[in-house]
Amino acid sequence: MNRLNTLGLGLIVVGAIVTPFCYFIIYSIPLTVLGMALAIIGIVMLLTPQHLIPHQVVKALIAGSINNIEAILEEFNASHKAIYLSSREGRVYAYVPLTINPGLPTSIEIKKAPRRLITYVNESPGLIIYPPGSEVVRLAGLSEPSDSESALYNIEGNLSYVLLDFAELVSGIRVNILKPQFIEPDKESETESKKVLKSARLQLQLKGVKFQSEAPRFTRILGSLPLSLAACVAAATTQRPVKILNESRQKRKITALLEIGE
Amino acid sequence: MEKHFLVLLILSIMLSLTITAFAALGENRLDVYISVFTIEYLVLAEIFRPRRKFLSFSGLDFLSLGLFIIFSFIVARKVIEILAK
Repeated sequence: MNRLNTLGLGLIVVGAIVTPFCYFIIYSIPLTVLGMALAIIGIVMLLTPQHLIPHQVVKALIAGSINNIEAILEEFNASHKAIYLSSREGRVYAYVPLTINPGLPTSIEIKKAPRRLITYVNESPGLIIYPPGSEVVRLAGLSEPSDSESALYNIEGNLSYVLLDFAELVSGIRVNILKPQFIEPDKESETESKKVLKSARLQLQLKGVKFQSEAPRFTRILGSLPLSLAACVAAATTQRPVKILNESRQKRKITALLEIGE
Repeated sequence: MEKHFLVLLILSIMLSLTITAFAALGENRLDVYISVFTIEYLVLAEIFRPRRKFLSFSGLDFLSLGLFIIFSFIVARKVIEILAK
């Protein structure tokens, strides 16, 4: 049993002895509640999870995954930024175009392409990669939005939940939604009554970043790990393609601009 | 500092200050102390949202659930006392 659990158990035992003794024998309410407070702190210590896998090992596993992707990107000499897309199964994947000649394919064309490591969209080759964040987003169990307008405004909540509470990759996050554009519903249509998100930009500020990786090509194409996870969350929340336009890092703070849609 | 230990530290300080302040004011009602303890713990759990080893069916940890049930019992008893007068 580790030290925290031992201390917690000790405090619970002390509290369990002190509380009835002070209440029934000494008749002192402040000492009674002191015993109860000790028991509460002991229970909190027992409820606090310890690392099931040493966190250095978890970091090493993540770094290994990133290095694998880095090697694939190096092998194919990928240099264009990835587009994050959400599949019907709820898994986010990244399409990395190997060429932008004659032009970038649309997200609809990419989604129709077979999901293989090397895929061809309009005869242009590209890579389909599952970033480390795709499994995290699937595990986080984000609820499906009812419409794209509410999905856009849910992004901040989902980003805070996944990055701060679930993955604990950052200690602070700020989100600004810029230039949201919607397609107005067709007034004559009976089925489409809600606005559909056309495009938007997200300005992100991530503070207290807890993970740094040495994978320059991965960072350049998919974004740094917390930003890649943020892009996965944005793609899963809005069900629209997401692209990281730019990223700047200052010590443990990341500022980035993401484009959603189109 | 990791948030789990920050929660423990702040909770310990808040409980100590509560007991000291109420004892100095001569408060002798047990339910007042328990109610304040409950509010302090629930507020801290909501602000920091620390991970917990075990969660009950409602998604709350067992301590939150237990304290909430006791708090509800205290409030219900007070309401019944007021209505009975």
